[in-house]
Amino acid sequence: MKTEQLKTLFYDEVAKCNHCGFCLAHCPVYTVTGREWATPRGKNVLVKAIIEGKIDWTPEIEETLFRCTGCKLCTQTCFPAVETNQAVLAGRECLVDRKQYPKVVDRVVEALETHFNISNEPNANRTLWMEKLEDIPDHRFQKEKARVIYFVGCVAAFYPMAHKIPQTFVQILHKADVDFTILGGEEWCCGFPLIQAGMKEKMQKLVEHNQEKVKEIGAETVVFACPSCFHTWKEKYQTNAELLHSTQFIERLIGEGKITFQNGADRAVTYHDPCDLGRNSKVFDAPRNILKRIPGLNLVELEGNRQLSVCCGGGGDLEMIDPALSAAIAQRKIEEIQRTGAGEVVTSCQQCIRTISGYARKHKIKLKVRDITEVVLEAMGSPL
Amino acid sequence: MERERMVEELSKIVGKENVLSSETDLFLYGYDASLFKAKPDCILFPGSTEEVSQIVKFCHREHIPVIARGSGTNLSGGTIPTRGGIILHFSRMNKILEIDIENQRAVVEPGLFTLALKNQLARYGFVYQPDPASEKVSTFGGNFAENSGGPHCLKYGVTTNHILGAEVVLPDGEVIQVGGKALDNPGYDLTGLLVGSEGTLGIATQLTLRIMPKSEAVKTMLAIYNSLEDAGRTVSAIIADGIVPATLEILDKLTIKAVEESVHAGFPLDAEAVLLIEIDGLKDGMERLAERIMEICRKNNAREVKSAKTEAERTQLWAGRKGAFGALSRLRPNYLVCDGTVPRTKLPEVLVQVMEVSKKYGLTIANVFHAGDGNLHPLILFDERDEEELRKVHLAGSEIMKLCADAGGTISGEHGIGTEKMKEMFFIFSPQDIAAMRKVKKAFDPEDICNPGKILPEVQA
Amino acid sequence: MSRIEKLIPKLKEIVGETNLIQDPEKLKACSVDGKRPKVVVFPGTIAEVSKVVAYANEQSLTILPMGNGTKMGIGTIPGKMDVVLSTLRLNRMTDCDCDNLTLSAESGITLGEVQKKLGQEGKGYFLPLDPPHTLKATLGGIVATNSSGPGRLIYGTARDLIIGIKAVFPNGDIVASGGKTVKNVSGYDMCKLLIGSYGTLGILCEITFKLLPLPEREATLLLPFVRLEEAAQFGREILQSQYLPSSIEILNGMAVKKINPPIAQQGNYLVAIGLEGVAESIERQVSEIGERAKKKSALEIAVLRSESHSSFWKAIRDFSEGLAEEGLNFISFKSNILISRCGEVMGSYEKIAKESGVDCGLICHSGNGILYSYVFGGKGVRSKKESLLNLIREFSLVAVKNEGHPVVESAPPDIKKRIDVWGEPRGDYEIMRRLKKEIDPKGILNPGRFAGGI
Ligand SMILES: Cc1cc2nc3c(=O)[nH]c(=O)nc-3n(C[C@H](O)[C@H](O)[C@H](O)COP(=O)(O)OP(=O)(O)OC[C@H]3O[C@@H](n4cnc5c(N)ncnc54)[C@H](O)[C@@H]3O)c2cc1C
Ligand code: SF4
Ligand code: SF4
Repeated sequence: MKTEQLKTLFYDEVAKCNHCGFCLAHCPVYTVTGREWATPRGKNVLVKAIIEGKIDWTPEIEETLFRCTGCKLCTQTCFPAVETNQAVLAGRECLVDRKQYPKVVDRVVEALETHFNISNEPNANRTLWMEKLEDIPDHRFQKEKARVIYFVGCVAAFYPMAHKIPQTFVQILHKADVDFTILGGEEWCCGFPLIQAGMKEKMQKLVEHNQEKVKEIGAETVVFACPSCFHTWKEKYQTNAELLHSTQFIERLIGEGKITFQNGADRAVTYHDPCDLGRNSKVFDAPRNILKRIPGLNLVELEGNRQLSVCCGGGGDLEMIDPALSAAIAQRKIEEIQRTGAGEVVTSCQQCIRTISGYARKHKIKLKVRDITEVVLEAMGSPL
Repeated sequence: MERERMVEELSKIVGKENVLSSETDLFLYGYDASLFKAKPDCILFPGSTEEVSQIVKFCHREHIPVIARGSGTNLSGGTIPTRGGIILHFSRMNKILEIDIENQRAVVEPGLFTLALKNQLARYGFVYQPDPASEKVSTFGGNFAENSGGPHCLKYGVTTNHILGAEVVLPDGEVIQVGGKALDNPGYDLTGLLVGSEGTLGIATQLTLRIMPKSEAVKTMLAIYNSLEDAGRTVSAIIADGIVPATLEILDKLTIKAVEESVHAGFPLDAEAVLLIEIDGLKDGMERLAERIMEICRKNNAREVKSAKTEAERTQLWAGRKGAFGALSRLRPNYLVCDGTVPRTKLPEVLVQVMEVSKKYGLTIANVFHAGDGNLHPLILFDERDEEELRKVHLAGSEIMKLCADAGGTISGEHGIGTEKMKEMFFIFSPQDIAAMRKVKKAFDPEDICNPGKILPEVQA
Repeated sequence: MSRIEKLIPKLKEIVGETNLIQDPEKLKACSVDGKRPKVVVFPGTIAEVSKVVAYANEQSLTILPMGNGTKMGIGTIPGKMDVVLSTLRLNRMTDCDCDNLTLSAESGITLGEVQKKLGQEGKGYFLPLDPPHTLKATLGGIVATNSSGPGRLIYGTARDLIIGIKAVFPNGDIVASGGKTVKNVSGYDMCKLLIGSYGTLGILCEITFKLLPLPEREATLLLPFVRLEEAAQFGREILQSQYLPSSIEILNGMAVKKINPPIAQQGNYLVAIGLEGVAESIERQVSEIGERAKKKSALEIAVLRSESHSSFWKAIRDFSEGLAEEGLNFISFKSNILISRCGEVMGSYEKIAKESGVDCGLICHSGNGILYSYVFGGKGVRSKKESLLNLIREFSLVAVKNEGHPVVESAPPDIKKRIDVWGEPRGDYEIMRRLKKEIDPKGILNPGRFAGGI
C-alpha cells in the first residue's frame, strides 16, 4: 500500500482517536512495555502523522507497527471503536511497499511460497502427527469425498507441542461417526501470516487453492481447531460451505447426542478466550457450554473474560517478530490465570497453548494448559 | 544541552533501555488528552525515587524542564512540554506498596492505575473513594497533580480529601516526605498545597491514601426529564433541601443518545435529560430518604423516577455515565470539555446560557456533568482537522468559562488549568491573587524547572 | 519619633481613634506567654486590615493576629511583638447561602454565634466543625490553628470543609483563593496553605465553608470498660465496621473523672460513640453497637440523648477550658498517631505519667489517631520541672514510634523555654521556611512562633 492510499482508506478512522488514553489500561503490549509507542493511541497518532506528512517512516514506526498482537481489545474498549489493528495492518502494508520490515518475515514468505506452510518443510509432512495414533482407519482420515473437512492449520500440523490437538480432534470426530476428511498434503496455509506481515495480496493463491479443495471434496462444512484459520476463512474466503470452529462443531455433536461424557473428576478449571475465536469471531458460549457438560468440572472465569479476554501474547505474528515481548505478555496471562486459583487452563487455540505452556515450561511454573479437544476426548472416556 | 550528551548522562541514571529520544518517541510524548502539542527533548522511565531525584538534580543543574507523566489522560494540556525538556513517564513505578487495613491507609507508587488499587481493596471490603470517569487508566500521580474528582466526590470529597501524605522530589532533587499515615502533622499543609499543583511544585514518587470500609447499602435512582433546566432545578432543590446524596449526575439528550448507541444503559431516548442519583450509607432510613428525593424530582417536573432493582441494573446505569465522554466521541472526532463550576443554585440559568453559546457559534455541545457539585462539563464536539471550527471551539470554550466565572463560579472543577486555561485565570483571580501563587511557585521552584509554563499566567507588574 | 510612636497615629488614621488599645493595663489582657504587645488594633474591614499590614510591613513591625485569644498559648514563646491585630470587629456573616450549602463569614465571628444563626435558618443548618472553646473560639482562630473536635471522624477538618479564603498577605495584598464552589482546582490550593498556618502567612479575613443540614437525630453511647485494651479494641472494631458513627472517643479514668458523665461506673476507660444522622440509622446503631459492647464485656451501656448528649460532647471539647477554670496548672499535648495504635499509646502514656508521679487525663479521637493528653503537675511544677521535661521527651518518643509528630499545645513558660513545642524537626520544614521567606520576607507575621522556627 502507498501512503496516499493509507490516507484515503484510514485517515477518518485514525482521526476518530481523540487521545483519551483509555486503551492504555487494556493493550497487552502497553501493559508489559509501559511505552507510549506501544499504545493503540500511539499507533493511531503515528499513522495519522504519517498521513499528514508530519513524520516520516522511521525505524521506530516500523518497530511499533510490527508489535501488535491483533487482539483488538483496544477496539472493544475504545468508545469511538477505532480500528487500530486495521490501521496497523495497513501501515505494515505501506512498510512492505517500502521494503522496510523485519527480516524474519521474509523467511515465512519464502516458506509459504515454496512449501505452502510456515514451517518450510515438505507439505507432505503435514500428517506426521498421525504417526502416534493407533488403530486408525486405513484411509487415514483422508477421503476423496466427505461432508466435513477438518482444516488442521500449520501450527497444529508442524509443531509437536500442538500435535495433540489434531490427534484428539480426529478421534472425537471418528467416535462421533462424522463423515470427515483432512486435506493432508493438499492443505495450504490459510494466509493469516501474510495478512499479519502486511502482504495480504500474496495470499490469493493460497485462498484459491483451499477454496478449490472444498469444492472438489464437496464438503458442506469446514471445521477449524485454529481460531486464526477460522477467522481468516470467515473474513477472506468465498465458499458456500459452512465454517465452524471445533468448539461449535463439538457443541452441535453433543446436542445431537453423538458425544456424551462419562469421565470426569471434581476440579476447577479456567477458560481463556482466544482473541480470534472470542472477540474477533464472537464465539464465547460454545466452549463454555461444552465445559459445563463435563462431569465434576467447575469453570472459574478469568478477570478478563469473553469480550474482555486479554491476549496470551501469541497473536499477530508477535511470537515470530519479538519473542521476548510475546513471552512477557504470556507471563501476565499466567499471572491472571493463577489468580483464579484454578490449576488448569483450558483454551481452544494451539497458538495460545504454545505461548502459555511454552512460558510455563521454560519458567518451571506448574500449570496444566490444555486444548478443549483434549478435555472433551478425555471426558468421552477414551485414553489418548 | 545537546541531546546526545543529555541522553548519555541520563542513561547513567536510569539505564539505556529506559531512555527514549528518537524523533518518533518525541512525537509520541508531545500530546495528552487535550488539544495541545509540543515536543520534549527526551523521555525517561525511572524505576525508583532515587532515580527520580538524580534526574531532577540533573535537570536543576542544567536548567532543563522536567515534566511528570502518568497516562496522559488529562484534559488541560498538563503534560505538554511547552518548553521542551524531559518527560518522566511513571509506567515502571506502578506498584501498590502497602495496603494497611488496620490503619485505613494505602501506599502506592504514582504510576499505578486508580482502578487497580480499588480492585485490590475490594477483596478487603474497602474502598478508595475518588472515582474519576477515567479511573481505569488514570494514575495516582495524575490524580494527585490534578486533584481529580468523580461522581462520588459530591459526598466524599475529591482527591485532596483522600491523599494524606506523599514522598515528593522537589525541583532541586531533594526528597521530602509530606504528611503521612498519621493526620495533623505540624507545619504547613504541604500535602494539601501539592495536590492539584499539576506537577509544577514537585514530583510525587509515593502517595499515602485514605481508604475506608465500603458502605453497607446503596440505592441508585434515575429521574427522567423533558427539559434540561428542570433537571438542573432538581439538583438545586435537592441541595437546598439539605440532602447531600453520594452522587447527582446529569446527562442531556445528546449524551443519552450517544450512550444508548454504545453501551445501552437504559436511558430513554426521547428524554431531554436524565438525573442519576445515588445515596449510600446504612440501609436504615434509606427508603425514606429516597422517597424524599423522588418527591423533589417529581415536584420539579421529572416525568418518571425509577430506581435500580438489581446490582446489574445499577452497574448498567453507571456504565452509561462512565462511558459518556467516550460515547460522545463517536459523534465527532474531537471534543473539548469545559470544566467550569458554579454555585449549585446557579445551575439552571448557567445551563441555559451554555446552550446559547452553542447556538451562537453553531457548535454541537453536549452536557454530562457532576451536577451536585455544580461542576459542568459542556462538551463541544468538532473535528480538529477543520481549522475554522477549531477556532470557534476555543472561543466558545473561553466564553463558557467566562459565564461560569460571572455566575460566581470557577474555571476548573477537576481537570486543572494546565496550558489550556492560563488566560482565563484572570476571569476569577486578581493580579494579587496570582502574585501570591507565584510566590509559592518561587519558594518551591525558583528556577522554574518543574512543568514550566503551566497554571500561572504572567502578571504585569 | 520612634517607629512605634509613629505607628499609633497611623493606625488611628486607618481604623479610627476608638478601635485601638494602648493602655498598658488593658494590654496585659492580650499578653502571650507573659509578653505584652505595644498596641492592639481592631480593623473593621478587610481594606483596613490590608492597610494596617501594609504599613507594618513597610515599617518592619511585627503583627500577631488574634481572635478571642483562646489558642494564643500554642507555639513558641513570642519574641518581638509590636502589634496585635484583633479580628473581633470583622464579625459578619457575609454570604449565608444555605440553598447552596455554603457560608462565607468574616474571621472574627465566633463559631458559637455562627452555629446559632445557622440553626435558625430555614430547616436548620450547621457548620460541621466542633473544636474546643465552643463559645469563644472565632472562625479565624479555629482555621489558623486547624482546630478540630471529635466530629472530625465523619465530617473531616477545616481542610475538608473550607472552599474559599480571603486573606491579607504580609505585603498588604488582599488575596482570594478558592470561592464558593464545592469543587475547584483553579490554581494552587492556597486555602490548604493558610489553614493551620498560625497566622504566619496571612491574616485570614473571610472564610467560606461547606454547610450541612442539622442531623435529624443524635445520640451517644457511653461504654465503660475495665481494661484499656478492651476499650481500644472495641473502638477499632466499630471503626472497621460499616457503622457510621460521627465520633469514637476513648477516655482514660482521669479524664472521665473530670468530665463526670452520667454513668454509674466512673473511673474506668470509656468509649464514647457519637451518632448523628437519619433517625432509623441512629436507632439501629444505638441498639446494635450497644449489643456488641455487651458481648465485649462493657460494664454498662448508657445512651445519652438531647441535652445530656450535647453537654457530654461540650465537656469533651472544652476539657482544657474546664481545667483552666479549676485553676489547674497543666501541660497539654497533642499526639497524632496511627489509628490502630491508640490503645497502646494511651497505655504507654499512663505508664510514663505514673512513673513521673503525675496525673494524666487522656482523650483520644480514636478513629483519627489524635490523642490529647493533659498532665497535671499539681502545685510544684517548678520542683518537678526536670521530670516533666523527661515526660515530654518520652511522650514524644512513643508518638514518633507510631508515625506521629507530637506537639506540646500548652505548658508553663518555664517548661516551654526548655523545649521545642513543635517537636523534632521534620524533613519538610526547610521548604516551609522557604515558603515563609517568599511570602513574608521581612518576617512580620507572628514570627518565630511556628514549627521549624517560622
Ligand atoms: C474520557 C476522560 C474522562 C475523564 N474523566 C475525569 C473525571 O471524571 N474526573 C477528573 O477529575 N478527571 C477526569 N479526566 C481527566 C484525567 O483523567 C485526570 O486528570 C487524571 O487524573 C489524569 O491522570 P493521568 O495519569 O492521565 O495524568 P497525566 O495526564 O499523565 O498527568 C496529569 C498531570 O499530572 C502531572 N503528574 C503526573 N504524574 C505526576 C507525579 N508523579 N508527580 C507530580 N505530577 C504528576 C503531570 O505533569 C500533569 O500535569 C478524564 C479524562 C478523560 C480523557
Ligand atoms: S484508541 Fe480509542 S481508547 Fe485509545 S486513545 Fe484513541 S480513542 Fe481513546
Ligand atoms: S490490537 Fe491488541 S495489541 Fe494491537 S494495539 Fe490493539 S490492544 Fe494493542
